[in-house]
Amino acid sequence: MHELSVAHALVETVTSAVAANDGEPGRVREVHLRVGELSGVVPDALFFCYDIATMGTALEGSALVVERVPVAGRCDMCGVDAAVNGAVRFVCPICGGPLGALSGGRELEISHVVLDDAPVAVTS
Amino acid sequence: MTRIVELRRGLLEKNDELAGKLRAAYGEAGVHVANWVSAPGTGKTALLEALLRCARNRGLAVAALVGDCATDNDAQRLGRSGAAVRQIVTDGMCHLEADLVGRHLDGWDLTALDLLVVENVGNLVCPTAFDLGEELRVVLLSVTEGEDKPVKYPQLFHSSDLVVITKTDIAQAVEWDRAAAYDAIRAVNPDVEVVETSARKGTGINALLNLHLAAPAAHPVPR
Repeated sequence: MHELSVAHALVETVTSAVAANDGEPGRVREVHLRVGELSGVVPDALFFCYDIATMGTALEGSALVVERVPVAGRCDMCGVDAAVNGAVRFVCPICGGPLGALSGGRELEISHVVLDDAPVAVTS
Repeated sequence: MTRIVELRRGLLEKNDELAGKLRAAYGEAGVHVANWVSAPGTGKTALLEALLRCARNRGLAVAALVGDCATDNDAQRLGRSGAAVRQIVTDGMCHLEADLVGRHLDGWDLTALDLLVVENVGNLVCPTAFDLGEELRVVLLSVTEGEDKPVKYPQLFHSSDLVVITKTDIAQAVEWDRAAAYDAIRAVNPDVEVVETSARKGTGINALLNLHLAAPAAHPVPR
């Protein structure tokens, strides 16, 4: 259950990134992640921790949106780019050869955030 | 008004950055560093004890950082080998992070060491995502655990550079199926090196030590 550590890291990264972007965090409405099947992070556990980790931060009340990224790689034997379903055996679904360097599945990244800007004070 | 801010940032960026710094420091000091991961009860500590003793007999300077949720029992036990050992008590946390490792290296002269072994908290899931700056990620699997464990925990086995089979002295008694175990390992990590060991009999310890010392100075890609 390391997802709480991951959720805290997420809050830290988003808070500093958003602040660095425009100086004013505003309100974070959505946080979009890409989570690879091989990342070792379970989305359900992350959802479970998210509300606790975001409490009292600029991310409080925001929604977490997770895109799962399947394991994919190129077959060393037939050269085919293949996605591995079930992420258990890293072999080519066509010829059964071992998949070499994986091109996907290890992702653990924040792709984007959706912000509600703080209302601009109107001075007359 | 609503707007979208593209970030494309690693979620564990901070850990990865710290791990990168550790990796650079290890490379500069010329010390080999391994991160040992396994389930609880695989025999990490017994094997580490044997490895530390073997290294000392060969005149090598070795040190170990051992992670556990509570107690310094392992550090006390390993300290008897005469090696420099420190305990990292995680207070319940299920894995080690680069920051924790870095803080426990304070005051150690890395340039005087040949090998540093970081024994992670016993867990096959959580340590996967956390780079500790090691050049060699080692996963241990005992003959009592069930041969299909690699396919049950593919993330960790896939990300490892070396698989160590432990407790081979009792393999026959527990009817360990060597072929099935190797099939499961190869299914998730086709080219990984495998070494069979018995801490009790001293089998494979020299080979294990050689593999640790033969690892490249710095791991090419952070996981």
